[in-house]
Amino acid sequence: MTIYVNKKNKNKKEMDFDSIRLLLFWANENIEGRNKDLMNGQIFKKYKGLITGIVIALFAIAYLIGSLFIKRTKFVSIGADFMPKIYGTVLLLLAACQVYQGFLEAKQFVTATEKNEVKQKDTKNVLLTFILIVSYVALMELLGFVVSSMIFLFLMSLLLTPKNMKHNYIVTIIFSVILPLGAYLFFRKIMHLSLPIGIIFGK
Amino acid sequence: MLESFAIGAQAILNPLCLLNILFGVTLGIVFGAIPGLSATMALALFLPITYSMDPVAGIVLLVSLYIGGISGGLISAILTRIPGTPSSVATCFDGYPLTAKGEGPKALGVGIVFSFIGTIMSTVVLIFMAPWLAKIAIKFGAYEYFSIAVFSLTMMAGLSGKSIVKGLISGFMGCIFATVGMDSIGSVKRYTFGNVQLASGFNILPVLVGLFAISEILITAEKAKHTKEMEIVKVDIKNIKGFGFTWEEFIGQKWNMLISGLIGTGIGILPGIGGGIANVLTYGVIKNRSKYPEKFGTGIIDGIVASETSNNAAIGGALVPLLALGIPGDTVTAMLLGGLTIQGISPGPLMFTENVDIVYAIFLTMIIGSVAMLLIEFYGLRWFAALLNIPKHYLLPGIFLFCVIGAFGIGNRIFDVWTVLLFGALGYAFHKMDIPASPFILGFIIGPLMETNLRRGLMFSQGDFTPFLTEPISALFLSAALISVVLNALRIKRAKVTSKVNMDI
Repeated sequence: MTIYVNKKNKNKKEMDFDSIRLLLFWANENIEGRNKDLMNGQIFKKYKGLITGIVIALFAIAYLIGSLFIKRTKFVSIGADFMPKIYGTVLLLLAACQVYQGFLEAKQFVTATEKNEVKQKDTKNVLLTFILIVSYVALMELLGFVVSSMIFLFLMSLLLTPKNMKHNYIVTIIFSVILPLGAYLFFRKIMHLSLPIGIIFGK
Repeated sequence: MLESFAIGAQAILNPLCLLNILFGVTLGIVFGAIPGLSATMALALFLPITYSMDPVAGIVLLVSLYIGGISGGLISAILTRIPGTPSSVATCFDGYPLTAKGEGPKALGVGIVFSFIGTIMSTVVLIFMAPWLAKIAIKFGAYEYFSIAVFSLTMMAGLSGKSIVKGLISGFMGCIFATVGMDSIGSVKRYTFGNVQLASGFNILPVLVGLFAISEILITAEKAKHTKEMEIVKVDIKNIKGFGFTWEEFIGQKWNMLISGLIGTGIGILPGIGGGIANVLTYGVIKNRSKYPEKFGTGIIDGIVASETSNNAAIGGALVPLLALGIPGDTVTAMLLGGLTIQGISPGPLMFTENVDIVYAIFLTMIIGSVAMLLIEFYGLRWFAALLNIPKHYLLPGIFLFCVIGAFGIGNRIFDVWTVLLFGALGYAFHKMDIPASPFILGFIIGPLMETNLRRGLMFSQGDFTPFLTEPISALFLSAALISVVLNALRIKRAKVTSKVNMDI
């Protein structure tokens, strides 16, 4: 029994150390900033389960707080806030399980060898893609579907072209002009679906 | 029954519907064949087009896309070792080695023929089982529906990932996002933050497109700069007799075929899981009962038979709970549910008395569609293989364009397009955190069903939960839900232990 307790305590200490190490690492990183990308990947991988759990827990708490503001009606005995409260609580419990699992995973984490680790992930490209998509939708309200789609398609296919492939600008331009026009004609004229016209061209 | 078939035939035997079948199956195969596009995406993109069609024609198109989409994955699985959809993961195991041996046409022929057989087998089960189940289900009340909803959710959450906790998190997140908007019983606004657009909640289509299509684009962007070109093995089917394999080989597979078809259909019927799980599971079963398990993975047709028969058999299976109970079996049937609801038809037991034409039109489409699939897929192989060469940097932006059109088309508002982006970001975050996305979709659909029935049931019993546990059918499903969670937790734990042992060695 005593051994068991000891072991448990030891585990707990290790966990605590881990979180301190994480903090220290972040501090250190901000000062020195060396090997940033590689180490970032490592640290994210190690604490992925933990971070996931914490993010979900925060979301569940926010959702539960939100459920307090749901209006209660008198004529229905079980109110509209009933289910959100259950969902929020269950999610919070699940998040707690996830945090626990994350701790275990982080403790067992074996630092992968560097060669395996450099797995060519391009966070910058993802961010650019997302920004491009957001500005496309925002532009659509202004320029309408056809024009904004042409700009979007051109930039997007440039972004997604693999490095080792030479980009054929003429093909891209033809592609990004024809597709929106074709889609517009097909959906507008044949399928009678409406598409955003945009403020500038509208009316 | 014959009378009902006559009604169904009357509904679909017209040029538009038949054209829709051909078009749907062909396009489904294309979506299935190209890795990164899936049957779910095909349905999501074409759902808006069905708005303007009449209900039967629209549903026929969606079902045909489904059949083609599940089968099409075998083309890239066999030719490039990259599964076109999750449904053909196990097809790679033996399909690609066969191609490497120079027997590509045989692998493709076997895959296509057994896809066809799988679909037909499950259609037969569907035709007999769905009306029967509907007859029982018509007596179900709030208690039963709540329990079935809970059961579906736990099934899906348990089987869709490596971690049951993450699966459940995903499922409940889906339920949570479905609570946005007015509640189904008292019309109280929830989580709308004063936004008028949010009052009606999120529409399923933008949610699905966002989670599956947009996150796929972001994942591609992540790797885009370093992708190498795929190598596609050229296959010539010109001098092939029949479908590339002999009658003896076909007869040799009869038991594998029967077992795979039954497992596939069974898995399809279980709510929450579909072809994605059926093919891998069946491959394992067939391998275990084989007299020569060591040959699996080296390129024998048994493996392809197992995978392709079962994934297509899951289609008919998944349609059973959709039509009889109104509960989708997987993400694709979730889209079908959306397609039916848009047309003003609510799937469930009443469909069998009120929309007989649609039900039997679906049955007939399954049969005609699978014949079309058999012929189109085999004789069009060269062109489908050529499509694998379309560069991703043209394909994905193009797909996104159609996503926008579809999302906008639902309600003519940019708001839905923003919804797509929101859920795209969420899908990417899920991908980063290793949380599976499919339970989310199921939760999103089943959440409101669960809530309505739970609250209705509790109001009925004046706040007493015991009827949920004492009503026999309800109790059965709730205990099944509990058992499925426990079994899955054990399964995952065992898998972890074995992998640890392996690592130690």
